[in-house]
Amino acid sequence: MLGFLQSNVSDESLMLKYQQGDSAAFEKLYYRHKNSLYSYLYRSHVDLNVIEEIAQETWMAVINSARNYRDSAKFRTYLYAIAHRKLVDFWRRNKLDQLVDRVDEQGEQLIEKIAEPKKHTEDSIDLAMDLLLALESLSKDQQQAFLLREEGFSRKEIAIMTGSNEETIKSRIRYATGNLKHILEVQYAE
Amino acid sequence: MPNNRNHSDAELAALLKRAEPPKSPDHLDDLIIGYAREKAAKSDKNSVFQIFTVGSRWLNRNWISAAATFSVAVVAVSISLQLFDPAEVTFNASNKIADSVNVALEANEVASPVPAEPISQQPALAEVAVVRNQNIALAVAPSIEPEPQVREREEQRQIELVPAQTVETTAITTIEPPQPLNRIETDTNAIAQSDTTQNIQPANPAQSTALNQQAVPERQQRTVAIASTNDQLAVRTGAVSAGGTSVFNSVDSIPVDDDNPTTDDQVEELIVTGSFIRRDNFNQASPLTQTPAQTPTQTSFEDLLVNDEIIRSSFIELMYRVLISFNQNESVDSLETDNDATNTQSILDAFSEITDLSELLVAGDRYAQARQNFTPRVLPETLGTAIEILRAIEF
Repeated sequence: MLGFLQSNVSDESLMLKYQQGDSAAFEKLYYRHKNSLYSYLYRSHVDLNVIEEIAQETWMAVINSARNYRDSAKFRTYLYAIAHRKLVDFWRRNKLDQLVDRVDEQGEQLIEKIAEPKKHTEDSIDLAMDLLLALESLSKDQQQAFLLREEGFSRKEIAIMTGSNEETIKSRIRYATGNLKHILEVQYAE
Repeated sequence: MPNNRNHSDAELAALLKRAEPPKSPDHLDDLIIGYAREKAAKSDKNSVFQIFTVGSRWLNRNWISAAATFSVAVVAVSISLQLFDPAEVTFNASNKIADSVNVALEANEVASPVPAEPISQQPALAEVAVVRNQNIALAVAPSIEPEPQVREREEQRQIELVPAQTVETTAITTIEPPQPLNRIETDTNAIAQSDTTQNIQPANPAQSTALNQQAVPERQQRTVAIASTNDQLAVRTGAVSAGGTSVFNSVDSIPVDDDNPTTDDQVEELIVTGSFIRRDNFNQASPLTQTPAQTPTQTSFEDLLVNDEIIRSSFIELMYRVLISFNQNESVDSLETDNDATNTQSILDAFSEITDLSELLVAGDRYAQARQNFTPRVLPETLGTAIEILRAIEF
């Protein structure tokens, strides 16, 4: 019973406990969100080294800013907003925030690679990986709007995290969905 | 599904989840957890300042509500301080009376006088009754303890039946000493014969004077009777039937608006400046005329008679009285002049009747002039002394 109650402790309460010096609370918080955050970063960027670096920076930022944490918003929103900002900073440093053609290790454009018709269309894993590649081909704004919505955030929360308004987020999601559909349709067309 | 050209959003989401992402590596977990523990340990060192941090943080979050609450509290306190309930004010004053009575009982001496209440704070009759009944309850509590409900009911009944004067009598009678109730309830005069009157300690010096004079034994007896009862209502009613005059009228003797005479039309002070001239034409707010001491000497008596009508009329009147007294010639026959009055005693009587100093001086001067016609031996010694005094002041 006690364990059930402890497992139901909200993220905000755990963060406030850590704010008061309870490192165990932070461990619970970390293990609760580490994989989902890592997945979000992985879907946003294919390079695992970059993902690991951004994940580390994100959690370090949470730890360093714990004293100033306020429970006025969900901790998960707070965490993903930091991660999104780290991603954007990374893209800007490497000039990846512009809509440019992505290339693979061999220099082939990803969008062309994705667009190649697939012969083995029954492999759903490949289809999922193609979806990730298709996400890489989207603009970063559309990609982040789509991914954050898939993480369960509302348009309002996404607007807060990305510094936009809800209508813009709605539009980005609609375009992202349409583009992904188009890519996949083209890819798996007969 | 791959051939389905209508990929819905749900299908895209399911497809996205199917792409199993990598998990966070262990070395990253260790690194982040270790860093978090290190930071937590540092924050523990600063736990001394944690209270202030939390307090300032709370204030930063809730400063609006805190300020609003504080403002409302300040306004409420200020309003409560400004709104005086007359009954409460009187109740406080009555508490002072009760406190002074209790102090007098404890110290076995008269308590300090109770300051008079301002006229504006004088309560109505019913309020006086209520407040003083409350005072009774407070004062009696240590010694006489009727049940609260009974006492409250009796006090309410007392408010309806007993005038304030009687109620205040009972208020003072809480002074002890305890005695069986029934004795007093039936015959207060009989109880009054007991020795318990000696234990009465009034609340202020005025009351003490009233008691020490022993001029109001009945009142004392009534007071003792009331003090010795356990049933206050019955005894109070008995006090009313027995006359109901309070021993401690000083409480009611506090002046009120209509009964308090103003002092504007009264003489503020009487200053003798050396002038014996009476003047009625004062026009100052405070009637005061300063006359130098040289004025009477600079003006001859004849001038005064000519110029001052008041002196002239007084002189004529005095002359008339002196002549009348001389003409009576009743018992003194030692005067040699036939035409003059011979009754020295009458002259003395005439002088003794003079109360105004100016008239005495005028008469003395007149007599000094008249004495020239008399032989020295017939002048009484006392009258001669008086004349010498009059001469000494150079009139």
